[in-house]
Amino acid sequence: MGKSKKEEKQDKNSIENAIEVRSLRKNFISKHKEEGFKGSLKSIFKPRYSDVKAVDDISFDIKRGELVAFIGPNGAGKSTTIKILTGILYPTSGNVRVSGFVPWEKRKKLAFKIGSVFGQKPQLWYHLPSIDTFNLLSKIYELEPKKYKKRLDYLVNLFEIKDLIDIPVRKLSLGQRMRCEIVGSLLHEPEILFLDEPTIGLDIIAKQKIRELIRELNKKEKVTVLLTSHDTQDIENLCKRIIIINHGKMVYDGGIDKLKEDYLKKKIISVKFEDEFRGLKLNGMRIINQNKYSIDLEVDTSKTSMKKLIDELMTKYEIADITISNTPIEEVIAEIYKRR
Amino acid sequence: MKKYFEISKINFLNNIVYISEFLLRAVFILIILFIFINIWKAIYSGQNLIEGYTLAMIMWYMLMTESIVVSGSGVVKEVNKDVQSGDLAYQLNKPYSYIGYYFAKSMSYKIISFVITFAMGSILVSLMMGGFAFTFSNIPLIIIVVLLALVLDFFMLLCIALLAFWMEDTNSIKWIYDKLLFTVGGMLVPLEILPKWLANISNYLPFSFAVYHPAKLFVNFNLSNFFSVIGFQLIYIIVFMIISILIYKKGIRGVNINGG
Amino acid sequence: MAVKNFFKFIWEYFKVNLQSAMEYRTSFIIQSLFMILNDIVWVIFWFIFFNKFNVINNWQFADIMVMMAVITAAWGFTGVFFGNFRYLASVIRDGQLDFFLALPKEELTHVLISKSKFDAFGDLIFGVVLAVIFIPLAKIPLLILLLVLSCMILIGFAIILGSLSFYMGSAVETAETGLMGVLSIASYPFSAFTGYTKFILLALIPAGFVSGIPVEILKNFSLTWLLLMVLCAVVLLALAILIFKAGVKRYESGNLINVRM
Repeated sequence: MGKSKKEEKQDKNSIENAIEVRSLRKNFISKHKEEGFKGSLKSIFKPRYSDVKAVDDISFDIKRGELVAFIGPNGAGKSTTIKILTGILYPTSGNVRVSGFVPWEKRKKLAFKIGSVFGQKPQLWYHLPSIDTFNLLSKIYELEPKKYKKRLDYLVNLFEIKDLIDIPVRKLSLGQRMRCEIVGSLLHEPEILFLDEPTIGLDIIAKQKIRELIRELNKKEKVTVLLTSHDTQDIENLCKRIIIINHGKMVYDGGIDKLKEDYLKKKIISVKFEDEFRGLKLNGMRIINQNKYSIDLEVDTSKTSMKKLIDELMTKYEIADITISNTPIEEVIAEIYKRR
Repeated sequence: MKKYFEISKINFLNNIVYISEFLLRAVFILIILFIFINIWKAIYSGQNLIEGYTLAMIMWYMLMTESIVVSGSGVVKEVNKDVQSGDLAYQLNKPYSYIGYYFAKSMSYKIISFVITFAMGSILVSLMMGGFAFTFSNIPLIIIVVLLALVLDFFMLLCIALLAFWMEDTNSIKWIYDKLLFTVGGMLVPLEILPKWLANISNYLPFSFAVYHPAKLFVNFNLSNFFSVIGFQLIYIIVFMIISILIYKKGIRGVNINGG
Repeated sequence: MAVKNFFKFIWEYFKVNLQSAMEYRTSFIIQSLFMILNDIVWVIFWFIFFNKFNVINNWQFADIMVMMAVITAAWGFTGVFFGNFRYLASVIRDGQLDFFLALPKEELTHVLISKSKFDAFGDLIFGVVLAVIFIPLAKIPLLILLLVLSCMILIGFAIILGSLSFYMGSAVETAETGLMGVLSIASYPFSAFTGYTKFILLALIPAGFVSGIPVEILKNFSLTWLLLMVLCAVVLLALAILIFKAGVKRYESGNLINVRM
């Protein structure tokens, strides 16, 4: 029984796409309770239910090897989507393929192909050295001992945890623990890695280290990474593509730079002058900081173009130094959350 | 004084919310009573009296002892937590006595727990025994004895709980206390069942005044016994109250010196 | 092959659990010791009780020692190897089930074996010692079979009660009370029960098969009763697994009001 041309094409796509989501919908039944004692009584005898659209028609594809940020405010439908992708929940309607499998139908098979790290729900046994958890995981994932050893050595070197794996996890710093957690999630060579808040609670240096490692891993092994984080630096540093979910709907799916361009025309300019600053007034311009010889201002480039602003500055003053930067992504995202 | 009553009242209302907890505890006791009704029936087959107890008396006895013992208030756990987490420091700032606070809190819990367990249990026992093995006119006096028993149990537990100042885990001591109530306190069987020498000693130990004596008065009331039991209860309550205050004062001094 | 893997899985987890115990050696030893002491207090109680009353229907002191051996060994064994059996309801309520669902091993077994209770070691040791003292060597193979069946029944009860968490709030406390109820019935002389009560405790809520029937079989071997016990263990465990799987289906719909998603 040969496959139809359509099926063959679908297969080919499936091999290229790590994750395919089509018209995904998930509704929850939520019980309504009115206030007060009377409300409590009512809810026991005549409960009222309402339909909550947690995921409301979302579609996207993620190719093999992509590093995608998946963000949204709490309650936006993010975790519900991820649970559906990992097969823990089944949807109300829609099609999903992860690593070629329909997640909720082939959850156990899929489990061999995906790894997950939840910043707030650790997988490593707290009281034991990581190596013990790693060994246990190797049995859970049925890894062939020689292959496992090779893989373990490789990851231990890559993540620089050689001296850490024999220490009980509870004695490690948060950053060290996170590196061990990620190694644990990679032992079985997953095709897709779900990272949820991997840098939460870490100091700046640890954060940078983790980001570096994830980038390297993605480059070397082409592991598809789906990253959820409230840390916008994580997103800016790691992901080229960002999907934003709000109120169950997909609000943005595209590149980070385009995001800033599309949604916010504002740029931030820091200028140092040779002489004293005497003031400047332009349409759509706002002074953030002002000192005797320097100024930080924000300009809406849809109202005053960059060219016009610089021309003005250079005409009026002697400029010692000038820095132009984009709006911090937090603001961009906050705008989006607000708008939809 | 009034503020302690208010604390009691708040906890009372608070506790109503946890009614399912009380109900489930009562259900567990029903299971235990059910098991023992069968055991005692088997033992009583052919006999009417054992050591002065009829079958009905022994079941009502057990209902009373179980209701008192499982009224437990978690005071040991909470004080342990306070001392170990350092929350104790915050408690010291409040305008009421630490012990007084726990007394008010625990007693409201214990009373509700006792009432619910006893009420549900008495339905089962009266159905299975076909009646009551106690005299209703004695109830007011019995209430006094039971209340004092709950208070005595509280202060003994409080002493154990306050040892948390020096011990990491007072649970092992509490466990010993539970076993003592179980054996020499007369929780499962009246002291008359124990070997004479053991029964004689147990009669005067504080544990029996929290469990055995109140329950015995309940099924076998005797005015002069009533007064002597109350007397002993009051003496033991005062003793353990003083001990707990002393432990507390010593512990607090240590906290102040060491910074907790 | 699948059977071999199953046992291997349990063994591997047990080793890790044991390592955890060694990491907390003092706590492990203290908890085991206290459980042994607890069981000894019960032995003393029964000694005093049977000293006074001699028999409860047809059980004597030796019989109740056999009962204690069976229940402590079974409860202990289950607690050592399937230590999470008492906590299934809270695993479900707290959303911890997600963790197990996302791993490639069968989740029910995984949940059960992921924990090992320290005090259960004490119970198991005590049960074994008591068995050596009160059960003749020739009957040990039979005892082992009965213990396996008894564990199956305990786990069956635990899974059914724990699965209530898929369907109702306050399941954690209800499950705990229910399981403690079963344990209690199995901790007292089953000979006390006669007539309808005995029937209910064998046919409807088969707590009688946990320790009561094993004692009778060890006293006077009866193939009928052994087969009934096998039937009970198999049916109860199968039913438990079905109920759990049905509950997981419900869990996957995300519509559990009770669960912290």
